[in-house]
Amino acid sequence: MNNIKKAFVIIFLSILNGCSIQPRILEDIQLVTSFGYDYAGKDKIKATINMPITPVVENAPPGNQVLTAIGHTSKNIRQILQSRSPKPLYIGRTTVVLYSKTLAEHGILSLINTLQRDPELGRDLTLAVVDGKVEPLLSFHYPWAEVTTKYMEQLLEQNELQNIPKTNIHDFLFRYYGKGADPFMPLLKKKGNEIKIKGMALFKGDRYVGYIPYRKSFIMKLLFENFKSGIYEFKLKKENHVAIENLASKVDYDVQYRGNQPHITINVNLQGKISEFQSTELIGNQLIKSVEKQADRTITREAKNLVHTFQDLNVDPLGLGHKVNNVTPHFNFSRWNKAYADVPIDINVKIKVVQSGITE
Amino acid sequence: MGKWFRRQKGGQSNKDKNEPTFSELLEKCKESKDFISFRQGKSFSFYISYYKTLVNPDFIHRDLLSPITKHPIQSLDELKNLIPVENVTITDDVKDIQDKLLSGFILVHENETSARCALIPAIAVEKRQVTIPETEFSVVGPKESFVEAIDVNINMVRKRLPLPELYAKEILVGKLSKTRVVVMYIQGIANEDNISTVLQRIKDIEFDQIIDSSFITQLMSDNHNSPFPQLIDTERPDRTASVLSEGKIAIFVDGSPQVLTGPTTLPEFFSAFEDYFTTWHIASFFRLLRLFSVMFSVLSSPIYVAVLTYHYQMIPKDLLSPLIASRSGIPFPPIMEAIILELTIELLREAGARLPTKVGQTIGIVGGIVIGTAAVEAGLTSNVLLIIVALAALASFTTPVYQMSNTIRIIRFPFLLAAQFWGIVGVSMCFGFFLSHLLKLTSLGRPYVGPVYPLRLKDLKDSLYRLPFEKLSRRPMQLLPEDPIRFNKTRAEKKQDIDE
Amino acid sequence: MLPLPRENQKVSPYFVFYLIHSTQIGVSILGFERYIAKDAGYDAWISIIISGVSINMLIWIIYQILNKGKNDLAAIHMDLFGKTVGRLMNLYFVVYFTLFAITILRTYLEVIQVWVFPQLNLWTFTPVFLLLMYSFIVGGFRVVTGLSFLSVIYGLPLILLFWFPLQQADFSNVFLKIDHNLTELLKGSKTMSLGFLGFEPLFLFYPFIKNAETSQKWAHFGVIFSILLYLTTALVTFFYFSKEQLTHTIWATLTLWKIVDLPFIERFEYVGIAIWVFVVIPNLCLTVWSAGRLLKQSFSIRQRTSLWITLTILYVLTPIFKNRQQIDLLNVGVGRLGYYTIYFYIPLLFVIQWMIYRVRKNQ
Repeated sequence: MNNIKKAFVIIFLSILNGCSIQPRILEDIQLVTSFGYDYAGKDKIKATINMPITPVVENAPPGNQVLTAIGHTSKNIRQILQSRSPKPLYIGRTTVVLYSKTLAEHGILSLINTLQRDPELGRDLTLAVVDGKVEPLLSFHYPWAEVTTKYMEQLLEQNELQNIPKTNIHDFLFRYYGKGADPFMPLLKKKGNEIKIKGMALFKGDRYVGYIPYRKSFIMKLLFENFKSGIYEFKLKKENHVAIENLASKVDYDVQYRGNQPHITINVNLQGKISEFQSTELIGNQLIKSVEKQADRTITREAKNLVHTFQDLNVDPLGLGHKVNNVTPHFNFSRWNKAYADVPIDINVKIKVVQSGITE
Repeated sequence: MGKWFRRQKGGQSNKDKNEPTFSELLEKCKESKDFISFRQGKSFSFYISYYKTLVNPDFIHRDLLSPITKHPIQSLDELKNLIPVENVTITDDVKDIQDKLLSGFILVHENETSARCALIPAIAVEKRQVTIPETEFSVVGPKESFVEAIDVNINMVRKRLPLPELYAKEILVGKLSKTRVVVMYIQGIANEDNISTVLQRIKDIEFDQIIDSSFITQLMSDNHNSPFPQLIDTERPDRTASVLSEGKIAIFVDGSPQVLTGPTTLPEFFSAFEDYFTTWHIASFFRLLRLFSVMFSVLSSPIYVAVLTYHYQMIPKDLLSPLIASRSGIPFPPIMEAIILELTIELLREAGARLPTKVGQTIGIVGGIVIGTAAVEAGLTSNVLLIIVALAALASFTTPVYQMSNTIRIIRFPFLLAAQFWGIVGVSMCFGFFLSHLLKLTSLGRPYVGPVYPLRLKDLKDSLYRLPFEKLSRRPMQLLPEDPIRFNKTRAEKKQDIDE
Repeated sequence: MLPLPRENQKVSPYFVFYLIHSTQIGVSILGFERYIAKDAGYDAWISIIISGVSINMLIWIIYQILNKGKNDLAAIHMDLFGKTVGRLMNLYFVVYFTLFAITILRTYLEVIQVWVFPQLNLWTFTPVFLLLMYSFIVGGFRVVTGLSFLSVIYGLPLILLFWFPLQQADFSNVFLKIDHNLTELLKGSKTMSLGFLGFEPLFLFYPFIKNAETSQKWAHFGVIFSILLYLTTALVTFFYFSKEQLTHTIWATLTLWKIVDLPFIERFEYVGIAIWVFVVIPNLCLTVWSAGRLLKQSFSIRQRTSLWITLTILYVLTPIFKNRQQIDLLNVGVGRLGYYTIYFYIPLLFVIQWMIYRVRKNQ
């Protein structure tokens, strides 16, 4: 068969085929960039979607458009929302998904499941819990940025670099499905004309059970992952506060069995520099030593408190069960779940001050 | 058998009809105004006949008329000794007489019926000065380019390769034009099979006129239906000499300033000869750049169409809102927009190519700036696509071989259609079709996709990139040269020790 | 004895590496992790190695058979079993190759349907795909070899993308303990062997290799490279997903591409699926070429004709499988068929050939 005949067949087939695939031309669809759910009574949810509207005029800033609807399932709501949108809605570019605290207390698995199932959605999706209602948070126009989604995205992204543990939908699913770990996500709150990260929301399964405040999330991050920024402030002596800037922090978990009982040691090594020091005292070796010592002590104490909070709430955001399981042959999860609250956990924090700025 | 015999017989009678008697020939020639036949003086009893437009008038006066008026001669043999030029022949073959008369020989004959005559070469060669290469211009390096006169062209190559092994076989092609086609190669380097393939294919050409070497390319290429050129045409004598010494074969066509070289491979179309005049790092960088620009040129607007039509998820976050802004308000779907813009660019190029250089430049500026800006301002196209299409057009011009750069601009359109039908999967499948075509394609019987498949790692040194000269100690194995060694590698690579 | 291919149609021995490798990497690598993890958990990496070793043994057996038979499978069958039975055996392999091709094609089309174009109409899209296959196969074995060579080269950069999931990986998921007993591991390797299926065209392209005996090492290298690739993919997946999460993920490898975030392109899975055309096509081409070659060899019809027959069958049967369950059923069925073919029939053929040759020698 020669090329020309082949080309004709292909063109014919492609025209037939072209009719079957629905094109989704960029400007003819409405991209949803963030959405959130509120609790609206038993079995009912209220969804709010936020989308950027690009004006036809060039160089004009994009605006926000918000739609809200109440329904039973998220797909049902999408249908209702569709009735009010001039263009078909597509959620493939969503980056932030919010759940109100009340809803999260009732369980959000079904809502996350649809996100997981949808091949259009990416994996860099950030999930967050909102203290209060989602709708006002999403519909407010913030002075920080033209587009609310962008504002939230940047807020979370920059905080995930230094102050709060990194989370996205993959982490949630990893912990939710994986045994011996519980999911967590940032907790947001609208305050006046800005959004603020209130802390980290802790989940047991798919239900919200409590949160730790923003101040402590740095400690959680220290215990959770290796990272290279962030500032922690603590009291050195009576009046003097010192701020240590993290240059490189490393964490590793060590599980050892004493008899039948797993014993977990968390080792944190932090290299930092003194960035602020409320004193006229000159920074010398002596002082650095004492700063290191004091910092060790403070952070260890804080970390211990944090871990105890987790154990009291019976949640395992650090994934200790997972870590013990990885080294224990034939691990029994039901026994672990009962024992978790009383498992001994040791925390060793080692801080090394390597720099003190350009003055001495 | 019978059929064959009949055809043979038919051919015979045809030949008889074509071969007129001598007097008929003169009769026919006299129909033309520029044919001159006269009897010079009383002492000279011969006729002199020639086409005055084909012969050199100086020659007639200086070398023919002045000796014969001084020394009366009795026979043609005397004449042959008298005239101070070589190649004077005495013949009575009417066919030969006709051919030579029409290529600029002077005919000296006793009377108007007897065919016995002397043929004196007095060919007037009208030729252009050797100028600088225009389509394959290089900033550094030789600035000679071929002209329309085949002998001048061969001379330029012979000067660069003074070898007795540089053979030049001549074949006349074309029923009407009887064009001289010269096949040149270096005996002992070029592969024997390749040589016989080329000679056979040229002999097999059935066409009435060969005006240019591009006729030969089209008539002798392996696959006539392929959009890809299967022989490289060059206007640079230096390039020709260089590929001859690699073991390739050059085809010179009289009247054409382009010389064909082959067998060739796809990567060779993206190597400019200037690559050899710069250091190998720079040459390699430019070659890779050209390869990249080919990919960009072919794929960029199809990918734009695919992404905007089907895969909005793939657009990077920060590009999303500028893209929407530039697209909103445009009345056409991306495919129409892309095709319109691509055609506009092609229009500009075509208009520029058809017009004299200076007007062409003006057209380019008018088209590029005025139409482009106006189209964006009128909301007919998005400025993002305008940038993409303009860059793609620019990228397509980086291909050093003109025929190939045309191909690259054309094959973009099937890709565009495929992108419209099946998005990015369609682009990939269209690429598959081209790949299957390229894998099947051969140039003079040698695989076209060159050192990549079948993989010849040694040939890669001078294809997609270029390594330093001392690494190129072997001729391309692709050509199966009779003698693959270029020079002694060990001597070239011998290094001096420190402080020696 | 059937005639052997001409010398200028043959390819160099080292191309066996690419041929074998490209037949083993196909659609299965996009989602095999879930199946082996079901059997052997995160210790399944051992299963990959076990089944890889067994495949290498099979390659050795195949070379023994072919080196003795000096021709392709069709000729060996007809030599050993006589014309009629030999033809029947060949016909079995034709059916097997055709089914195998249907499985690959349908699974890849399913990936396109689920991930890219949910509304894709198979009755019009499949013929275009088949035409693409046709235009490669019609160029002969050399062109198909070139395709499989180039496809391996194209596919290699995709390995670099594992960098992105590794940034979020939990390395403690694997290696620290072995929780599964040998039976479970062997069960996992049985499942895994389905991934390695597809090297059977070796039986038919053997006569097309120059100095075919020397190509055996390349075949082994090809399998080893496939093992490494499967192993890397499995390990990266195991590092990235938790075990229970993986059981919910149908195409784990494709999901890994989702997180690739390059500055000029996001959501790499679309590009990945498009590039995957070139991983699937050589696989399909070799299988269909083998089916056509078998038909030609045993029934002395032109290969062009037999190619059209095979492609028509593919066109009719591929779109019949409509949903996930049916496609899964097809995969499992053909997988089982392939499993018995390679693990039982090939050694059996080896033994039969050995016995018959011995009897003939004694006579």
